[in-house]
Amino acid sequence: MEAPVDSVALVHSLSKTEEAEELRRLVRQAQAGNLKAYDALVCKHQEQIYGLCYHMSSNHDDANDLAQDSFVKAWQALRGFKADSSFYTWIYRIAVNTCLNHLKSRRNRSVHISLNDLEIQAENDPALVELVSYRTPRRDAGLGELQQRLNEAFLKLSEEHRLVVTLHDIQGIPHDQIASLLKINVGTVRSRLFYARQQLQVFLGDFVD
Amino acid sequence: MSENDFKALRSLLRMKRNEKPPPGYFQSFTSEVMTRVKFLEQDKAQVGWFFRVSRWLWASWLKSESEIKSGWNGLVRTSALTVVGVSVATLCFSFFLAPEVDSPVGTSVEVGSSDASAAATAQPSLPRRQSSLLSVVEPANLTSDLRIRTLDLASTNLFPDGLFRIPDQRSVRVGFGSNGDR
Repeated sequence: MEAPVDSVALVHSLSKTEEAEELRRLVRQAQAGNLKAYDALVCKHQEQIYGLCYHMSSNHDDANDLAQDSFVKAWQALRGFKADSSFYTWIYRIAVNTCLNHLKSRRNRSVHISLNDLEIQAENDPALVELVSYRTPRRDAGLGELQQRLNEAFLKLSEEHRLVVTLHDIQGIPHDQIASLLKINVGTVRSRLFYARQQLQVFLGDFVD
Repeated sequence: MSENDFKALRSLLRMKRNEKPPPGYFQSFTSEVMTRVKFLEQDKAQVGWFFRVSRWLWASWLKSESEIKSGWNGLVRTSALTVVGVSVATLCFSFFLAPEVDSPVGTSVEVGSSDASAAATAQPSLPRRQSSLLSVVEPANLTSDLRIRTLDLASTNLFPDGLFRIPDQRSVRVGFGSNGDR
């Protein structure tokens, strides 16, 4: 019988190999019904999962619901989880499917972008300040307007294209991992990414030309 | 077109990394998720035995051969009919054959006795029942001069004579009346 895990902080203080082993142990314990272990797994992955949900829905409230639903669904399906893929890939796949189902269901509804409650730290990013200052024909365009335009353009993309841009360009996941996550070829990932960027370039012509 | 052609766009997209939820959001997020998970576990524990039995029955049915499946079907039908039959019998007993609580005023007539034929012409009252439904409709002016016991064969239905007759026993047809009818 494995000893229960007491602290989430334990996971963060380990090296990569130890961390991977620790995650496997947490998964095994959670599969046996240990809620503390699952709590630690949620803490470990919540930011990435929330980020994915947020960028796919462009709405904080929806992202909150989707991320919670993803973790609850994962708990319900955890006993069936096989170790042939990592827990990270598995939970990501659940979140992707949850987001896509949600987007399909709201396809006919108007989309409300809520950015008021987001903490925007971009003003401290010199690269972005430079980008806005020098690339924008309208020099008075603030970061807020840029962000608004970016989100609107993002929502014009199809769900598949938005997904690959979110995973690669925003969350920094490599092509091969995205391919394994979405169960598609690397070539398909690249082509979707290319097409999505082309579209974004058109939508955001003022800022990136 | 290479990755470099999208350099400006990618810089712009990196800005989205800075979109964060309100401070302290993730602390409450974990606890909300775990609360939902705990509720799920409680629900599962409450109906766990029912699900386990249902799942076992379902799995057994799926795995079984066609002959066994037909046997299963028969068993399920028989069980369902038994349950329905018992329910109907219980309901009938409680409404029509419930034992008397109070002794009504009138003459007791034994089925098979010599007074039975005379009693058949009398208009007895409905025997008292525990049923709340009937206690509502049982008016005070209903009188009784005949007591029908639980095991008497009494019918208000318009069965032809001889139908449902049990050998060596006589049935008594009873009717309902009120003081005003007399």
